[in-house]
Amino acid sequence: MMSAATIAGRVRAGELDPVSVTRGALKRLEERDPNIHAYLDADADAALERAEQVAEDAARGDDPGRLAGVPISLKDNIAVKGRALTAGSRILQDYHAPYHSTVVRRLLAEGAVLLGRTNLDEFAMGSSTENSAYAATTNPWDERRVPGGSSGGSAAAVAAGIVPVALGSDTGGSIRQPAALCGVTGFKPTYGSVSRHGLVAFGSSLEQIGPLAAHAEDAALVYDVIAGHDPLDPTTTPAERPSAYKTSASVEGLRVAVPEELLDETVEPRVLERVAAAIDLLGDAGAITKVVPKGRLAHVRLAVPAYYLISACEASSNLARYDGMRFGPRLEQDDLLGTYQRTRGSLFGTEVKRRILLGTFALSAGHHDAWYRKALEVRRLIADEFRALLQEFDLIAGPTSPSGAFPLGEKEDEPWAMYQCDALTAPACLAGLPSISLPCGLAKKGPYKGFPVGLQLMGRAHEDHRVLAAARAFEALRGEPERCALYGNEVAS
Amino acid sequence: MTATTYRPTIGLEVHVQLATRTKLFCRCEARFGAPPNTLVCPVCTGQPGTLPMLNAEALRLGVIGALVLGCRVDEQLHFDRKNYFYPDLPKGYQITQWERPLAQDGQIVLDRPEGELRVTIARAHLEEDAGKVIHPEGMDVSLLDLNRAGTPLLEIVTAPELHSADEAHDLLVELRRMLRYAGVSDCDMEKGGLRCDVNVSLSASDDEALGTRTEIKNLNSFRFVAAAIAAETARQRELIEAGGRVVQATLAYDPDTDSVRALRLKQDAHDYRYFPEPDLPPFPLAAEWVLELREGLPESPTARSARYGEQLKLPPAEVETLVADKALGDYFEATLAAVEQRELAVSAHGVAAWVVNGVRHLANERKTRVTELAVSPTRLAELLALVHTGSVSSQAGKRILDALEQDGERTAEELVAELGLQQMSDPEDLAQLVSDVLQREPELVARYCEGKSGVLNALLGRAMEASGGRANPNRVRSLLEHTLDATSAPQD
Ligand SMILES: [Zn+2]
Repeated sequence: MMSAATIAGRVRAGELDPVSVTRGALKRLEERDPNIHAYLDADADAALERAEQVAEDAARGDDPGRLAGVPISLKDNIAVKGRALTAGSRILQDYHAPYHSTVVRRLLAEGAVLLGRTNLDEFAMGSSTENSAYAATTNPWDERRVPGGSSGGSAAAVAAGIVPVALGSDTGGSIRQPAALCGVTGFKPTYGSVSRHGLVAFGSSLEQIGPLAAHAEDAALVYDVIAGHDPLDPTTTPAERPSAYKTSASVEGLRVAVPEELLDETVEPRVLERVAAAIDLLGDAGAITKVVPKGRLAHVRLAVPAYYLISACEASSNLARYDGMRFGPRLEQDDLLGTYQRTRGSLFGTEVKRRILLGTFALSAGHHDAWYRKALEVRRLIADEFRALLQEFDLIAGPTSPSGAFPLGEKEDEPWAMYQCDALTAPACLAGLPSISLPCGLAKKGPYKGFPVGLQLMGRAHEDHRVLAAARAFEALRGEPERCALYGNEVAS
Repeated sequence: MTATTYRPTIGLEVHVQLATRTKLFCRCEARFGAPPNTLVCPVCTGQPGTLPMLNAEALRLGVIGALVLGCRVDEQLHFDRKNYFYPDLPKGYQITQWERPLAQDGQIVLDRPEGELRVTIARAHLEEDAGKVIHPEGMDVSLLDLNRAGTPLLEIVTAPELHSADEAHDLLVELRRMLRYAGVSDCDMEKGGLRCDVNVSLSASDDEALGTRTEIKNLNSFRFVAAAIAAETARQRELIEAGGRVVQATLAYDPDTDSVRALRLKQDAHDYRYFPEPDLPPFPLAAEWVLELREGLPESPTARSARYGEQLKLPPAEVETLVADKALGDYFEATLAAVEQRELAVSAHGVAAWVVNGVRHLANERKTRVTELAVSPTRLAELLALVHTGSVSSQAGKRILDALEQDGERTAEELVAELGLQQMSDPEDLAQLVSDVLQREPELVARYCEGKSGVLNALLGRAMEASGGRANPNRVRSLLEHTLDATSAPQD
């Protein structure tokens, strides 16, 4: 299918009917989604109605916007007024958002057509999208494998060629890891550059909304639209933001660090092989790449425990509002405590409860200093190490995920193994840095043979445009991405 | 051997509602008395995905409150989450300030019969209020009203430096006066605008060590605060004297039985799992801004009191009345300003007398606030001008004040004319009035002639009554004296 930039350009030029674009996306969704369960709901009528409205605006001669007629799917933890918002949880079954999130307002202002709610791990807690209370999404490359998570629905929807762009959220890797496992581009912006108003909160100090796209150019285009200061989110920064879409795509002269800490023995060798080749490609194009020996990012090995503690602490508080009192189902008992226990005990899934318990424990009197505060110290050390390294280098490169797409159920009963999926992506969240995962080929051998591998690039805070420009340059070097095996050339066309 | 006497040590935690138009973290109105759940939005009902937005006016009032109490204001604003479950708490946590309060180390000075008492303000911090759970009588349901959820509060914590219910009461009165003066809070207890928690512990007076502390929650009147302290002090003393031990507990005071009951014991105490609020990044409080607010602070009650006494030479009773009620004092100031603008030679004392005796009574009679009277300071000044120039007597002036309140539109001058209350000053009219009165009251006249000069006031009263209050009392008095002395003189 066409890129978002192409669709919007042709709709604006009056050469393309947004309704036919939406119909095409809905048709693909109908054909392909039964195999992958990327969507909780297509919301087809609303999408078509919206496409007609964009068509009318264009016909009237109004500029329909930078995303005119582009079908965009949203992870189901992003609020759209009047539409269901479940966060993949039973506790929000039948809940409808009473307001628009800021990202939705911005997308609509630029003519986007919202198409469907995509599946996710419950409250974005997971790395495989198996933790959704509604269905497990599968990887379009192989239905027996996971798409990654927690934005697995959005990654699968893009990988299956249903929509050119989808939004996800990334708390510890939830955009980039599924992007890597599904062979698409996924971008987590600098903390504070995209408003979280309307994002169902999980780890408030870590997470950002960002795009998953088939083309890096589209990730830049959508980032430009959704980023910016928002009075409704006091953690957004008012900094000036150069357009990522217009920044010239080049890696020439860029200093790229390849820290050994991100290439350690826990990373699958065949994944490393592809990433090394990708980094060579950057070098060939004029980037100054340098392997940085162990030591500079000494605390990265503690990123997973620090990330899980901090995010669980915040989650234990953020999820307290799901008590059955004001919205969502209530499982009424004889007394208030009983109602709380039954409602929350029955309607939250296992992983969510595990993290609420972990966070509650780590914040409780007598444990607070040993766990929560210690994790904050580690976070600060990691952030300092990254900041120091990025004073010498423009970008940090490495793999996105230690593995490729793994079989469904493989890590279901091993939370610790599942948590290791975030080892390479959590640091950028702890440090608040912009980070992107780019498809860099298929593993040649080993357990992930024939499955996509992701290259991760991280940049300085508020230099999202540089990271996205480097990503676009890399995409041009790499050539057209290898397409989803399931849909062959049709997807690429 | 003498019996041990016990001394209570008391600390207060006072929550006052800041006088903002809107709530602390959303743009909903913060107003009392609206129909349930009509002042709510996605933020203050805790809908998924919503984030707090700090109300700058609440911050400003909080800082002013802290400055008025002489506190040191922090250089940065930090919020924390206090986590607990209750249906009136929409997010399952309260946004408050725990580790770094807005301000610390203030002081309130109380003027006690035994001398000055200085009480340390340990801290003052901003936080949001919860909603209300309502249990309608005769119905097996609980209802939730979130209008109050998110209302801005300033929590003010005193050091445990009070030692009687009376001292605690005085502290609250002074605190309320200071906050009202600065416009920080209405402290309207009937609307929950001021609520108080009290900590009480007992120690043998010959022993400095404090006993175990109990906390009485949520007292909403000064009377209950004093009564609860007395009840709890007595309870603890009886317990100790009977050989028992006070257990750390949270208590509630029941005014019907004048006793406390335990809400929960220490082992059941909440663990609030405080941690920094990630949705509100630390915010710098510029020193220049705080200084600006400090310099702009309105006059304190103490300063006003001194000025009224020393500069305006008002009598102590009137100073006290005017300073106790800021609105009344402001009314007085506005009237004084209007009088000065008219360049009338009415003394401050004269204006004060009218405000204290006239305006205050008028408001009391009508059960309203002076700010809501139809008689504005400007209209009162017009009336004072008429009294001052002698166009109306001061007695008639009181009637015109009533008329001004009832009418609300016409000027004092118009009402004087309508009611026929122009002062009677014509010498012939006055002579006739006096002669009539003397003829009607031969007994009084006789007693005067016997040397009972005090009778003159009674005769003056009769004359004023007969004139409908219009006669100029000074002139009637001298006329009476003159006439009576003339009649009684030949007998000497
Ligand atoms: Zn509100």
